[in-house]
Amino acid sequence: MKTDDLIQKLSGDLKPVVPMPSPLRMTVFFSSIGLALIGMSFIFMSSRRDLMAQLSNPKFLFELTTSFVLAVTALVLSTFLSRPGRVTEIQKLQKLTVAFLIFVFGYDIVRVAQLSQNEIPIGLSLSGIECFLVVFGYSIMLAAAVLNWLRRGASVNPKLSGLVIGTASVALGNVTITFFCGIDNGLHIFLWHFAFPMLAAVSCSAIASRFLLRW
Amino acid sequence: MNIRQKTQTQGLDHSDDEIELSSLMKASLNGDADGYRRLLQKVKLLMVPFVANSLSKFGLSSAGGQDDVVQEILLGIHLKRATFDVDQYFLPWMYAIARYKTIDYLRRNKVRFQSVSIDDVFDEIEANQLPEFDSELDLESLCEKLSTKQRDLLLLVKVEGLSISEASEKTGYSISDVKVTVHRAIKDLKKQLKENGHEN
Repeated sequence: MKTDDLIQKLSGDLKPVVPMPSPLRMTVFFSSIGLALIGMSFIFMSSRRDLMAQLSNPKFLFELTTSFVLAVTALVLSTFLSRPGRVTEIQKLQKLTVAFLIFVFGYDIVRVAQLSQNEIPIGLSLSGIECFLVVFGYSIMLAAAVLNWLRRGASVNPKLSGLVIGTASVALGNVTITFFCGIDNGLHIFLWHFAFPMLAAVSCSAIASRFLLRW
Repeated sequence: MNIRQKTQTQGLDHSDDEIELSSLMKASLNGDADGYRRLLQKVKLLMVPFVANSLSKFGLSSAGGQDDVVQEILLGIHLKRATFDVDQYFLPWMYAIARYKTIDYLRRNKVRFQSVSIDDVFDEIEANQLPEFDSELDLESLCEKLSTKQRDLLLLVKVEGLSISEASEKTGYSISDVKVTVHRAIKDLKKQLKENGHEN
């Protein structure tokens, strides 16, 4: 087909198009899905026994907030990545997301460094797989929902979009598990709530995005 | 400072393209088929040299291949036109799609990128075609600090090019009110630019 014929064909039956919602609205939408999934988790799992006491603990709230902020920042970035040509915003958000990610990892590593020799085996215990499965399962569900929605967009870097969506999902998964896991051992939290789920979910999301976000 | 002044200040002559394509795209999103056809024709004219340059940099220069990529870019623009934000520039959006589709074509043709950085090549090609939209001089972000009334009237008069009386009719404000508001908005913008270190 000649290019001019294609132009005639494309413009021949043109209908008005509803523009994609703004990145802010999309972020609010994705965050709401994430929060709804957290809410649903309470139906299937019992919360940690000291949850009410922890909710007034500034350290607990700080950890929840940092994970949530990382998730929201990554979600904003993923929405901008689905719109071509937003280079300036993407560069700024990329730096911000990486900064939050380093902060969260750094904070966890400091907590690990403060552990005594006796506490390390608790953190390494394979019983942590349960927490890993919760975070990973949550992340996969949220990432699938976000990826499916962002297929309507036009990501010019699908792999990066996948990495970012995976990061956001694990960060919210980390928020979720905090309500249910009563183990406050720093190594347990670092490995089973964050590092292992991050490796697994981000890899899956990056691979899936290469197929789902191609256009 | 409107888009025309901004790009001319930077020694670039893309303001006409940007203004025309942006307005055609806005009309197209509302279903204007004639405007859309003109838009795609214009995009085609911009894309032919872009694609030819891109492919020749990687040793691919068949006319058939160039046509294929141009058509894929036009299809990409058509299928993903909902991702165009009417408050943003058209050209960066279009070139981002063009770059993506061209790289996709190169990958499918198994072009190896080890010896050259693909980003450097496209940056060089686009630098010759695309105006640099300096974020520090971004009109939208500067306008964010203005009041809604100031921003709306300034955009009507200085970007869309309406006369004071047309803007007055459109918004319902009196002619003198429009004049004073636009004048104050420009004054505020100048103040912001000075604060950001853009003395001239």
